[in-house]
Parts: sequence; C-alpha cells; structure tokens
Amino acid sequence: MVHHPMHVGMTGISKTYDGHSFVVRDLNLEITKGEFLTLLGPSGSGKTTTLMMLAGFEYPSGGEITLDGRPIQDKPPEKRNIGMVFQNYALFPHMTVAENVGYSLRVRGSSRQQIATRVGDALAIVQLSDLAQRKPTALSGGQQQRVALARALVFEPSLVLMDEPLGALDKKLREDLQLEIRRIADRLDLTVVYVTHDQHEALTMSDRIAIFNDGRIQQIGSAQDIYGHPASRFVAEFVGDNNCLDAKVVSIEGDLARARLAGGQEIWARSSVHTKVDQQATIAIRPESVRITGQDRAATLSGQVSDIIYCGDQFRIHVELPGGERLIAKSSSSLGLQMEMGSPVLLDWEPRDAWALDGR
Amino acid sequence: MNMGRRVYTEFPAYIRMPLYGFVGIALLLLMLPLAVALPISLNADPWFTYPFRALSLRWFAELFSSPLWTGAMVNSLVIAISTTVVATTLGTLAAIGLVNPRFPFRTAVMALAISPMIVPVVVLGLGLFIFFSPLGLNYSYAGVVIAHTILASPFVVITVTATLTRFDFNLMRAAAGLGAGRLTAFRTVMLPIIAPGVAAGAVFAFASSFDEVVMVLFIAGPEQRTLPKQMFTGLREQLDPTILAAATVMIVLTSCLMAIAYNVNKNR
Repeated sequence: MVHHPMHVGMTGISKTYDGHSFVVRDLNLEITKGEFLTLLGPSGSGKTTTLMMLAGFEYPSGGEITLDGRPIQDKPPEKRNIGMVFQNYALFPHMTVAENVGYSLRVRGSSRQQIATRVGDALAIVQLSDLAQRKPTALSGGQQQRVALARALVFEPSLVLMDEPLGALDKKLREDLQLEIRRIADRLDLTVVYVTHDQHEALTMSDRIAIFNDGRIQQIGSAQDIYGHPASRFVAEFVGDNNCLDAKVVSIEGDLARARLAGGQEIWARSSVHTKVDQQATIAIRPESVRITGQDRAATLSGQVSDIIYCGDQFRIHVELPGGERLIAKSSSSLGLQMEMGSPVLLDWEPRDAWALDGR
Repeated sequence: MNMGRRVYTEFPAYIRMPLYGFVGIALLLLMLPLAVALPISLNADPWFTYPFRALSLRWFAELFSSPLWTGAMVNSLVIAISTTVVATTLGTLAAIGLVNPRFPFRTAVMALAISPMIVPVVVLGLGLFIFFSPLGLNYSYAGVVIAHTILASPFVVITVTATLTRFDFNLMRAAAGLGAGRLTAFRTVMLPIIAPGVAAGAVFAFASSFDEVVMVLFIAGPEQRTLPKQMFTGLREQLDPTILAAATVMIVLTSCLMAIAYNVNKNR
C-alpha cells in the first residue's frame, strides 16, 4: 500500500463551551492529500464543530490542528486558505455569480484579467458559464449550490470543507450533485472534508467515513468497512438497517462465536476482539443477509411472521422470535406474496454476515 | 401586500368609511397647520394675515441674502452633516455589537443606547451644559455636534439593528473563509447589504439635528447659531415671514432626504 503523507492532522482536539460538557472530546484524525473524508453522525454529535475548528470559526479548547505539518489553530480563517461550502450556500446576494466566485481572488489582489480567466474556468467546471451575470437570488437551489462550490474551489485551497451542502435540496438533485461533487473532487484532486447526517450520501461519496457520536469518532474507515464491519452497536444501527439482537456468548470457535438469544435459540456470528465467553453481546445482521428458508442449517432461527411490508422492489418481512425480539428480513416480491401473517418461518444466514459486537 | 389590500377593501362599507374618515382627520390635523402657515412665506406684506394683497418671493430673497439667515443655514448644515457622519458611524458600530447574542448585558446596553429618545431633551441639555463647562465644550461646534450625536444615534441604532436582524452572519464567515479580513469583509459584504438601514438611519440623524433647537439653546454660542435657533429668536425680535420661508426650505430639504431614503429601501 502506498503511504500518503499526512495533509491535515487533528491531535487530541477537544471543544467545550462551559468547561465541563464536551462537544468534541479527544479527537484524533489524519487526512491524506486528495482524500474525500465524510464526517457522519446524528445532530449534536460534534461533526459540524469539528469542521468549524478546521475552518477556524471555532477555537479548540485543547489539542493541535496541523495543515501540511504546521499548526494552524492560531491562524484566523482568512489566513488558512481553506475553501468552505455552507449548508445555506451563504452566497453574497448583492453580487453577481461571477463576482461571488471571484471574491477570493479580488481580496487577494489578483488582476482583473486573471480573475476573469479563473472565474470562467471555475464556472465551466460546475457548468454554470451562461449564468455568470445573474444574481444568486435568480438561481435555483441546485444552481446556487454549484456557485458556492465554484467559489470554494477557485482559489485552489489546500482543503475544501463542506457543511451539509446538499441538505436543502430534493432527493433527485441531491443524488446528481453527490456524483458531480465527487467527480469534481477527483478531477481537481481536492482534499475534502464533508459533513452530513445522510448515510447514503456518505456511503456514495467518501473514500473514508468517520462516524461521530457524542463528540467522539466511533469508527473510521471506507464505506465497505463501515457498512460491512461495524465496530459497535451504534455504528451498526446508524449506518444502514441492521437487526441488533441481545445475546449471551456461549462458545468461541476460531473467528466464530456461538451466542444464545433470550428465547433460548443459538446462532452463529463472527466474533470480535471484545467477544468473550459468558458475556453479553449484540448480534448485528443486515436484513438483506437474512434468508427466509425451508432448510435447517447452522444459523437457523425460527419465528412467526408479524408484519409484511411492501416496498415496491421487495418485501420487508418482520419476524417475531420466541424471545420477543423482532427481526427484519428482505425478500423478493414472489416470495413475499406467498407469506402470510402469523405463519411460522425459518430464517438463516451465512455466519460470517453476522457480527458479535460489544453488548449493552 | 397585495393580499392585505384586497382583504381590506372587502370590508363592508360601514366599517371602511369610518376608518377612511379617521385616517383623513389624522392626516388633516398633521397637514393643516402647515397648509395655513407655509403659504404666508409668499405674502408680499410683512403680516401673518390672509388674504394677501400680492404674492412675492421677497422673504425667500431675504432668507438667502441676510447674513444672519445664511450664516444660520451654513451652521445648521455643517452641524447636521457632522452629526450625521458621527452618529451614523457610532450607531452602526453599536448596532453590529448589539445584535450579537453573546454581547454582555445586551438588553441593558441597548436600552441605554436608545434612552436619549425617551429622556426629555431639556434634562439632557441641562446635564450636558453642566458636564461640558469644565471641558470647555459649551459654545463650540464640537459641543453641539456631540449633543446632537447623542440625540441622533438612537435612530441609527434602531434602523441598522432592524436591518441586521435579517442579515445572514454566515456571509461574514464565508467572506473570511475566502480570505477577507474583518474590515474588508465589512466593507465589501456587510455594508452593501445593510446600506438601506444605514442610509435610513443617516437621514433620521440628519433630520433630528437639522431641526433641533433645545440642545442648541443650551450648548451653542452666537457662533453656532443654527436655523431653528435663528427662527426661535426671530419669533421674539423681528417677526416677519422670513421665518416661514426658512421653515419651507427646511421641510422641503428633509422631505427630499426622506423620499430618497424611502426609495433606496423600496428598491431593495
């Protein structure tokens, strides 16, 4: 694996407003050049505060932030050379699109001709060249967001921060812009820190995702890592749908653990370093990994159909287990149509698709 | 706005007519004294009586030729313009500070900043006269401008605060992120956006200084004789329609400024 030099570093960062409750605590984060990192978490988890500390709008209560090896936390925002895209766009309403985009170059004293060339290039990248002379208020939400993007890129910042930039747009436009932002980031080799609470957005766009909760990073890794190998119950429940079952570990064989549910049934799941015999664990299994089957196999559970929900391309079958837990399985339309409420079913999955996580 | 108007006209006539009548009477009470007094400035005779024997612009000629009156006009303009500059600067800065929710004792300071509008001017004038004497500010332009600034700033604080409550402070963050220092960001982003509020405040500040007489009676010496003070003394010493010519000029000037400020706001 190629070793990338660290571009942005946050070491032991904490933020508190009142001295005892921490919005961010002991945060360590390394961002490599050209990386697209997403900070994902529920509101109040500290992700936006982290972004604001990078931008310079919030001052960390402790720790160090470095950009290319030099500490920057004492630099004011205007000296950091970091581009930022705001959730509400924050376009200057009294300036045209071209003036908005060229603002950073104007305050840096670039020549008029230089500004015109680079603004033209930036607007071409976001495909807005023909709207250069409009005022932002005459643009749609998606167009305004493109202007904000062009404005944050035009001065070739060493880092681009985006604070839920697509939050106010409708779904279709959001999906288009997700791909477009990612394409632009790749093309210009941008280093991007992107904040969102939308997990689909995070999974679609990111090289790495940092899951925030309660002021801490719960897990950081690629989309496949986060989705496929959740490290904690929080991550398992926050990213994607997951069935989380409380169980007691009865035995460990290699990398598999056998765990007993409240109703007495025993299931297999992949064990982690935290898994210990005789301790409580959370067994996480994705609905799409659960098969509704007729055969009796190693990881088989039996239960009763308690709900059948039609979702267009599939059915979601809710199954009540003897111990009272509910488990959701996805199933094809044809199979779903044969299901009946209250009828008994057998469930089964590949043991390696289920994860034994620390219990709660 | 259109909606509101339509709803209003849909009221039955027995509700609408008394309302129209009430507004009419209120406007009449405001306008009638002016409508009676101002035409006398065109009376050819030096009397305050109707009907006129002839019309003439002699009182306007008198106003613009007598050194007493022209001196007073120049003084008024100099003091009002100085007051406008100082009050608009201070009032705008105060408003920017006071809209920040983290400003300590915000409501108390806000109340203090606009208190000159509530405190009787005579009390303020007397207080300033006593306060100014050891400082040597009585009978000076600086003293009058300070006194008028105290009266004028609240207008600016109020109009600019009103504009700033609709200002998106994220724009200042955006400007900083794009490399603009605080002063540059203020000049290029905040000021152009809040300009209508600042302009309205400036017009009010100018008007409040231009027709102010109580402070002037306390603070100003013969050197700082302003238009309103000249009218005031004229009432006692040589009563002639020049006073009404001066009043007409003042009303026209302030009305023009108000109209300009209104249009600046409307076009936003």
